[in-house]
Amino acid sequence: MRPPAEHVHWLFAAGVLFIGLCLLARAIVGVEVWDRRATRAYLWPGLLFTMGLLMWPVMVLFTNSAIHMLAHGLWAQTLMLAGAAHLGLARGKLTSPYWRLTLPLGLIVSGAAFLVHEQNGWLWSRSAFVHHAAGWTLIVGALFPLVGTFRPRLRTLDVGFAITVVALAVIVFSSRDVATIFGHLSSEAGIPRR
Amino acid sequence: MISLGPATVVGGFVWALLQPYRVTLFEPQGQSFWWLAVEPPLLVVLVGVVFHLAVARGLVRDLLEAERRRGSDR
Repeated sequence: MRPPAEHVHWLFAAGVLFIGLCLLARAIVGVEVWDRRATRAYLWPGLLFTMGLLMWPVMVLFTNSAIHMLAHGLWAQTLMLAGAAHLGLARGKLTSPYWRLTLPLGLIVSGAAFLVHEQNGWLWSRSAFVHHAAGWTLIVGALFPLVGTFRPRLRTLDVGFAITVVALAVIVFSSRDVATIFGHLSSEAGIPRR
Repeated sequence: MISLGPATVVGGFVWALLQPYRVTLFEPQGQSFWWLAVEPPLLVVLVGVVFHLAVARGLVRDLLEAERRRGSDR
């Protein structure tokens, strides 16, 4: 009954897409209107925390090498840290704006983990491409919340970050266990599927 | 902002039209549980619907209320 790896990627992509839409809506209407209801204020940090939590079973059941396991463990920890810190900020338990730095930290660590645990080049297979693209998207996307911590009124940064998250969802949705990428596939990758 | 959910739903439908083999419900014979339960274009449609119903509608109400309040304060 264990789902294939690509199905797990797609389920996570759906979660990432939902968070991306929430962040985009939040950037459009502004934080004041978004935070008017507590359920909304807690929504995206809560989802971030939950996705970090769900990353643990992925680490235990789906990783097949030490570096793969470490990468998923790092994602779980940094996602939970960023989610918990933003929940604390939304609740008012945490007051220092520097807690917002947990988000760029999580993105940079996750991006680096994507890049480090992919041993093959960009066009080796679809999976390799997805890892490289997702890794660099996260690292470049981390600039938005990083600058946003020090310039919280710049709404363009919020929009940029939301679009980055939606782009990440699209990248993860394109994940396949074995498939070609722009017509390329290493002969060592296995038999391609659609 | 109100069009974010519907636009996502349209995106899912367009994906299903471009790659109908991703929607295994069209040909369910011989498919295992997970291939029937997790179908990416339908996930995208589902995300759009849930976002619209659970988030966007309430958010628009609050946005209009905030604008009304701002107007009456002037």
